[in-house]
Amino acid sequence: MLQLQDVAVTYHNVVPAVQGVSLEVPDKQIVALLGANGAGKSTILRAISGLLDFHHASLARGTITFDGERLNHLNATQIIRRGIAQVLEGRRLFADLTVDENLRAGAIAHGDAKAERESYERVMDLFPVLRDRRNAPAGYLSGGEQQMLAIGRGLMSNPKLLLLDEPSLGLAPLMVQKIRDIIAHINAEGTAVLLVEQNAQMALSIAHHGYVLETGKVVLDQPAAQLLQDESVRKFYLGLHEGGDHAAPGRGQLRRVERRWKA
Amino acid sequence: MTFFLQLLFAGVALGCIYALIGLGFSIIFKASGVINFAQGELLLVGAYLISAGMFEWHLPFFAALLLAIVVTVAIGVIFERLVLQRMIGKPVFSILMITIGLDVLLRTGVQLGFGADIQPAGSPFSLTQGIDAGGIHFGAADLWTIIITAALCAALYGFFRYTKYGLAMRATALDQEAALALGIDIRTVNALAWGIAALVATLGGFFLAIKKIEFDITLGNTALLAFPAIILGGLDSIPGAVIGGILIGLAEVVIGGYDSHFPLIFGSGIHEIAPYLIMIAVLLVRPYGLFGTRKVERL
Repeated sequence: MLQLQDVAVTYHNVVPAVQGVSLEVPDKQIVALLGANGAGKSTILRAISGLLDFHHASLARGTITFDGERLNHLNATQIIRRGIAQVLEGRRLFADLTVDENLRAGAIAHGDAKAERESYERVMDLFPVLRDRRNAPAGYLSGGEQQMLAIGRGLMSNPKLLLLDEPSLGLAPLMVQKIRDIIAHINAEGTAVLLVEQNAQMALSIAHHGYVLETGKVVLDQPAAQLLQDESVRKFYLGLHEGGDHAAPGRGQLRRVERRWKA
Repeated sequence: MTFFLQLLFAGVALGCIYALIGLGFSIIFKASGVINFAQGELLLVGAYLISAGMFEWHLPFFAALLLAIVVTVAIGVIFERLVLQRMIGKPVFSILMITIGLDVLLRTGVQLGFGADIQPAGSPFSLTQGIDAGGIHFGAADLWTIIITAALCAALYGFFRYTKYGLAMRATALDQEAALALGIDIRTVNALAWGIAALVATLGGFFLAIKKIEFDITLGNTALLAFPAIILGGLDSIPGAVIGGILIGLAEVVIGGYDSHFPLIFGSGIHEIAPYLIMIAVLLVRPYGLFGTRKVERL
């Protein structure tokens, strides 16, 4: 469905952020994109959704294709019309606008009144709490409700692929569980998801496949179940390690990863 | 008492003109964060076109008005498309300098096209038309200023509240990147903002000109008087621009009416500086204006 091939992005034409990343989101699957701050996760999402210009960044090389069509030179409006919606990190709701208005704003690019009503009903069925608060300003919602509204707003354009940037950020553990279940539910209804997360446990528990990004490059590319078992992932993302604080001697690769993290 | 009521009426009418000018400033500011220094000259172009349309080209009033609106809106939208479009993401200060450039361009353009002579204001009403009620004279021009401003505010409210483009403009004003991520076309939003600003500028210029009966190239300077109005109301608030405008108009007229009562203390020109004094006083208490967004920032 979505393919990135050898994508490189530079900011202000000089600062490299992503250096030759290839990844794939197959039809109707959840793909997790993990990595530390500054690894280039958000930059990859921006490259897909056409927001690079806004950040004075540009695609230095590589191709991005969606359902066989090149997205490289399309703008954000054109990309969303092709069925890709992005939920930005930090939710970014229009705080002064009501819940309903935020949702309506999510459907502006599509401009089909009937489709908008259907999407609206779908979002309200998915998040019944939003129905009760439809006329409240979005800024008054709780953190969890805001994240639901942000995801709902993304769904208003009825996307085939949903890009989620850190949906669990700043939420209580119970709410993280809830958001996770919602993402799995949305996916079960047929929407593919590219999930950027710091919370690797949460992301890998629902993803089919995962990529680990380090300083702009893919260092691990495995099915999610396998990543969950991967030693470096267990140690550096999940905080699980067997056998004391130090990695067993002789594990050169693991130590290299460790050094990268401690640098 | 009737004198005071008469002043109130005149003050509201003048305030409506400031409100129209202020609306243009705040709509563009909300959309793009830029103070459009050419707003006063858009108003000037509008007033000149109505006058020339009626007295030189002998068009009926409404044709002249329509012509003026079409031309100023076209100037606003084309300027946005051809020039400002290339400036998206550039420092606001550079964009601001460009609007000063447009200001100079329009002013000299008007001078080249119409000369520097005093122009009669194109108007569908005569000076004496109006209604007398309870000892107060409601002049036709003032009445229509108030009616049209009120109707325009209602129309703008409906537009921002209920239409797709209005919603797109409000969303973009709150968070450009989030709007962009939803596929909202920011170019259309900016073009709309400039179009609406040019429309209200033309109406403001028309009412201002008929208030003065005749006018010249300095008409655009009145936009400076709308400045205390929008700062007072809060630069990023559209209702603030209207209420600020009316407050400033009222202050100017009412204080002007009683100027002669305190010549020894302040001199008779106090009404001229009253708007600025009010602005300074309000800013001391509410630095973001009466209705502006309160920004919390750590320094």
